[in-house]
Amino acid sequence: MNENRQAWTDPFLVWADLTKSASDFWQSSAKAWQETATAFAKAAMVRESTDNAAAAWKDLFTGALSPEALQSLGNSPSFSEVAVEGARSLIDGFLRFQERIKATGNNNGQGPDSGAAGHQDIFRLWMEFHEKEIRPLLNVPQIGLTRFHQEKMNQLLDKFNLYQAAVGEFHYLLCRPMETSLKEMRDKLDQSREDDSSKDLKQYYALWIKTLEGHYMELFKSPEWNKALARLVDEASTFRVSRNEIMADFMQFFPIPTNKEMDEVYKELYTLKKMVKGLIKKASQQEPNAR
Amino acid sequence: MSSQSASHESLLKVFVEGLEKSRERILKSRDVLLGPLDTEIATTPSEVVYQEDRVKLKYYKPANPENRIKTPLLVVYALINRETMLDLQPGRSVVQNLLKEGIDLYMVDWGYPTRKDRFLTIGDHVNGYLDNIVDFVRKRHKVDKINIMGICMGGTFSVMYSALHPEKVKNLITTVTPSNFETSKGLLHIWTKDLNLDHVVDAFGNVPGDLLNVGFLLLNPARLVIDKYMNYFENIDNKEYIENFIRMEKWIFDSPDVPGETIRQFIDDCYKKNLLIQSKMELDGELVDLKKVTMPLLNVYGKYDHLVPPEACDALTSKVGSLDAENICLDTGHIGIFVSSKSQKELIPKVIDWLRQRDGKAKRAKH
Repeated sequence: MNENRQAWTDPFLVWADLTKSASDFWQSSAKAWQETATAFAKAAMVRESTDNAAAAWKDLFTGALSPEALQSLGNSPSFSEVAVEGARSLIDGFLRFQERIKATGNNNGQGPDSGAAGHQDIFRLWMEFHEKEIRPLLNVPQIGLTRFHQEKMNQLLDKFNLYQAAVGEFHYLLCRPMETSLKEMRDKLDQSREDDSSKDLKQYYALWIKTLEGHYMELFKSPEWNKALARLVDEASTFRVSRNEIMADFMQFFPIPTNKEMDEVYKELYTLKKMVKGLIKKASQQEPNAR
Repeated sequence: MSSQSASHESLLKVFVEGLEKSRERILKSRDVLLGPLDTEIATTPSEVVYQEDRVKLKYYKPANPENRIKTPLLVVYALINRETMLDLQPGRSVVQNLLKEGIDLYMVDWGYPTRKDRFLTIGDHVNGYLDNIVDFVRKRHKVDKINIMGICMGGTFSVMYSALHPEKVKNLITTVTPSNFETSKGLLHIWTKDLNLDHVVDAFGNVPGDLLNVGFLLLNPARLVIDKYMNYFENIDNKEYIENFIRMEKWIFDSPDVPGETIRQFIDDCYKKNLLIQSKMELDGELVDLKKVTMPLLNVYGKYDHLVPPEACDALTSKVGSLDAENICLDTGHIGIFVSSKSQKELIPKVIDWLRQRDGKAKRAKH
């Protein structure tokens, strides 16, 4: 307290504080000014280069739009035409896919089993749509510095789509016995109400679980389940391999070994260990004979 | 009122009645779940007497040394799940029951494979780890041959081992062991026909235990995912039931990954090509000829085993070279054969009697 009071009353200390504050202020102002000036200069440079680029584009387009250039381009399809054609094909494909789904939906009411078969058709149709319309787009050759990465990313998207379709089909099949058994239970409940023979909850539950088990066993022995399971395992694995490759590329930026690199080491280690163990075994078998 | 809403009302009514009945049980469950529970598994004392990489050999001292069976017994469990299943709870433990009968018991603990184990083949397990373990036990007990009891996939490995090294095996017991994979009785046999495990191994390295567990749960989702847990809640006030339930949960979800190359070979050569039973399988370039299984063979399996159905087990005795080969089918399932007290009362005395009769006897082989 006394020290503070002395500081405020001592003119030399007050002056020293004031000069320091002033010097700090001007120093920071000067720095800010310098930064602003640099920023302006940079902006000016950017503007200059933008102007140059704009002028170049203007020249290019003016040249391109000249009657001679237009005539020479007249016989070849423009980029926009190609793009429009591509988009049209994709939209047509999608519309066809939609139409077929609609047709499948309309068929659902025709028979007791048509619903299940129809629903499963949706997955087949989606796979067809993906293979015909989306996959070719993802397989378009990539160019430039990042082509390898882009290609891998496209492959990942392709695998992801197939994996999702496989998951959808698998999930649908897995839920089907549940849906069927619940519907059957509802009918049984209605029946018991009409007969006035309602059971307690445990009996209903036991009946339902038995019905559900029966439907699952029927499903699990069917070829459609076998195919869906095999497809899911296959697609999930290939998607994971694809994802691992991208992760490995990304990991190269960090000082961490990738699984691929470690596997190479493990393979060598495995081979060496096997060789050494074999030699030790051989040597130990020969030892008693030598004695 | 529509028929549908009436049925819903009726369902709701029985549901509410059920809730009322279980109210007291739910209140009591608090004491059970928050109180002390004995859920330890594999509590029988053992000693690790040998270790190679991740693989350990556990030794259990016989509880009845006076009535000892001279030849030690090596139990070879599967690579899927763990050998702790044989010692789930005191009083219902295969391990303890074998010790009571005077058996020097050794058990292979395959451990938890890591990524570095992904290249290990069936040959590495059979001609490597298993052969080294057998040599260790032979040396320790100063005997030329030992008894082997294989369980499930461990049984299949034991059959391969006995065919390749018959001079080291005195008696062979196979329990719930698949040897004939060409059957449409078990779902695993049906599903694996279309499965391409190459991609799975490429993607994962080792096949994750959890992935295999999902597969096993899918074998019967109604019972294993729904009904099992309904029974748990139904008995949630029963301390003993809950303790046993948790023990089983601990064992069933303690699933080590399986080395990639081993499972790839197992699925391709056994499940898809069914090479073993035809004596066409090769390990490390050597033919596994079942005619070379000349030691006495006891083949035990469960009538209601859905994982390894009787059809996958019973052909073995007719394909081996031994004249002393016997099939025993028990009225139980894949796990029940070891954990149900009823099955244990049947299985253990049969195994012990069979071993005692052959302890010291010379073998008889088909010529």
